[in-house]
Amino acid sequence: MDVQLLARYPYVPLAREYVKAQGYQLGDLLVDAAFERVRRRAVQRVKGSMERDGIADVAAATEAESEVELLSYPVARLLLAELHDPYLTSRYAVAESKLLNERLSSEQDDRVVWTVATALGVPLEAASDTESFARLHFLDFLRHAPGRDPSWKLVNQRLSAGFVSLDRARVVRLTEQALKDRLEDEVAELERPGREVAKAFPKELPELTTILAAHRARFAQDTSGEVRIEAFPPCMKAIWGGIQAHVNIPHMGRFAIVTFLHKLGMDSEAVLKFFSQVPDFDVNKSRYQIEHITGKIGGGTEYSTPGCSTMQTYGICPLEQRDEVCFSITHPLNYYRKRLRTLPPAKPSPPATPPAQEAANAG
Amino acid sequence: MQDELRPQDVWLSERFADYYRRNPTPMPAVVERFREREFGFLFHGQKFFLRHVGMPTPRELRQFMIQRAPAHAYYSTAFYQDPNAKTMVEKGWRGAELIFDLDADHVPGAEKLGYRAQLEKVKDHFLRLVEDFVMRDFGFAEKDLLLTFSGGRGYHCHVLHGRALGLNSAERREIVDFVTGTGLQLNAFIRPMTLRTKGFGRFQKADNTVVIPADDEPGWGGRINEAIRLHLAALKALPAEKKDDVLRMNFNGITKARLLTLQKDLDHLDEDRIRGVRFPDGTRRGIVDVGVEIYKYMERTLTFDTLVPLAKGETDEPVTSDVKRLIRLPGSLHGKSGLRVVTLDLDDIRGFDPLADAVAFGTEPIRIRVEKPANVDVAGFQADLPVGEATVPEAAAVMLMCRGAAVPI
Repeated sequence: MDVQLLARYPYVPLAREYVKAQGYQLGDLLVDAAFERVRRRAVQRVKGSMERDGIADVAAATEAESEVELLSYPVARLLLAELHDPYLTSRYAVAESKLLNERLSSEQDDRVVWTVATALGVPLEAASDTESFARLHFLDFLRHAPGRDPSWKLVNQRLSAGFVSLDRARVVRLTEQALKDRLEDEVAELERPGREVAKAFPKELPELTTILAAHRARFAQDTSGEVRIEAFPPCMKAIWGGIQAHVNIPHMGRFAIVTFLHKLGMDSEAVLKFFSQVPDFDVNKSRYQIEHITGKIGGGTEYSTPGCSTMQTYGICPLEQRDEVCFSITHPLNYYRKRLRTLPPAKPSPPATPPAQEAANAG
Repeated sequence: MQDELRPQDVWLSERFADYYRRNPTPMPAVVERFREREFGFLFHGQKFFLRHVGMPTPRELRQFMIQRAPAHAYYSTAFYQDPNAKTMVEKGWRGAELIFDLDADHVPGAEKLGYRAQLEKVKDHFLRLVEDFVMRDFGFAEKDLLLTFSGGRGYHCHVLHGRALGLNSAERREIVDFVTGTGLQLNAFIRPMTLRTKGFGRFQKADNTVVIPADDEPGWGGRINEAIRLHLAALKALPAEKKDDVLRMNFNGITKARLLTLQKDLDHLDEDRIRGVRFPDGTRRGIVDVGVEIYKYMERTLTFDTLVPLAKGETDEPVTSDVKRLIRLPGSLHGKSGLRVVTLDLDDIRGFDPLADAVAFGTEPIRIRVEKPANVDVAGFQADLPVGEATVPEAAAVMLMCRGAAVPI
């Protein structure tokens, strides 16, 4: 692959090797005046993930421009590692993968689509009929198929001897999904970089933080400040109901609901207050754990809420109680946001039924 | 803690223990990665379910079976780092077999049948599940599968292929939805196409024709072709007035002239053409020459009325989508029938008769008191037993006591 192509798809392993082979050092990229344009494009990438139109596609005509585009990617990851925000990471994964879709869709050469798809973990095989672009083993198809759309259900695919036939547009969509999943995992695991990143972006980092906070505020506003149990997904209702009934909820369940409440804007004190609605709740015993999970103590890691897939693996998801919203999301927080939109505005006075009864009724 | 054991519980436990003693067949041999499995047991006359039992070696399991003689024995489809742990988090899930469980409960029409007939019917459906769906559509080879008779009223298909082990619950759900036809969208497979027109010159109008998957299309395509052929044949076979009623019911204001045209369309349907025709681009597709109203009628009714019940496979949805199920241990006995959980090759299944081939006990005459009138048919012994004393072969005695219909004397 030539550098122009690598610049368009900087996340394929070949791109990483190119950067290494060229001898570029991250330290230089951050500090050297020669890489000013790289740094600017990196900031643009991160900023773009919080904008409605996403990351702007730039055409790199010369080799030099291609190198800027290519190098801006690892620098953008450094920025994300420094900002260390799960919400931002999520948005970034979406934005980069949408940019990928745009670029792949406009590729003239089918072989590029093949190469990028395979490099991102979509192991395509040659089509067995004239109509399709490629085939994919159904287990790989299942891993990357977008969840919400019925036309993506396995039952509606052309499945033969374990292989699903796909047209080019579908291959591109799967590749987009594969990149999104990969970025979410990878970026979340990036270690906090040293001071050089903060020093290299003295203006930009605070600016990004402000934009992020504004975004967050809009997100938090969705929850109207007050957490509404009626909008809880079935898993959280079940956990909450169990806690109130003093049923022994497994650790993962307790962990999940604490991170859930925290992501909805509650700090550790608010979470404790929420839990103390439960009669005989032992605040002191739980304070340590809750403060740890919310990052108040012990290293500051704010844990993210497990997604639906994890909840199912651990047996926390009450499979039979899933509703249509459940099938349109892959994360409990998204269930809450979606459900919240359909509820009438919160009444100012507290509900007549105690929360335990409400959750039990609703769950 | 233990409930009081009734005479039949003691008797059955002794017989079961004896069976396990006499049968050194290494049942655990079929269970791969033995040490990572959780085992579960139920006991005759006891309500509690013993779980979270890890077995370090097959020998421990054998000894347990002989000593405790469980009524029912299960093992986890999942692999765990620590099967003895009590919570999922502590157990450490390491993947799970993909499971299809077909029981008489899932097969429509089976409820009305006697036990022997039920077993036959379930077997037919199970073969279809394994051959058409698991092997042909999903592409698994026989060597990737473990097929068993459950000892009760059904069969299990375990997929052991390495790639299937890591599937999460949502992915397994997609797989079972494929088998049951859940979420099938007809317009993903068929579409109206203007292949012909009616009228002349400036009065010429397009009259729709429906292009459908050919009869040999893989996956649901071929099934849809078959269902459409059957559906149209059924519609065609209705007497003329009934046909009109159906069409009028579905389309307001349909004219008599149009009804006649549609009737003619139905009469002239060519089955071969519906099965498949070679197109200029080399593809083979089915052509259904019917007016747009019949197409819409098919779209509306096909999935719910005809297609899915005719073509779909049956299987237990919660079992497949569960990533941590406990399932019958091959080689163990089923506590409600006394029959064995038997591992089978695909070829063996066709000729398999559970009531002869899954029998674990012999012909020794046993005196019993029948407490509920019962029909028993096992190991070649058949009888309708009224309440009262009787002498029956051991296998029959076991079955009757397992069912709760008799007690030992």
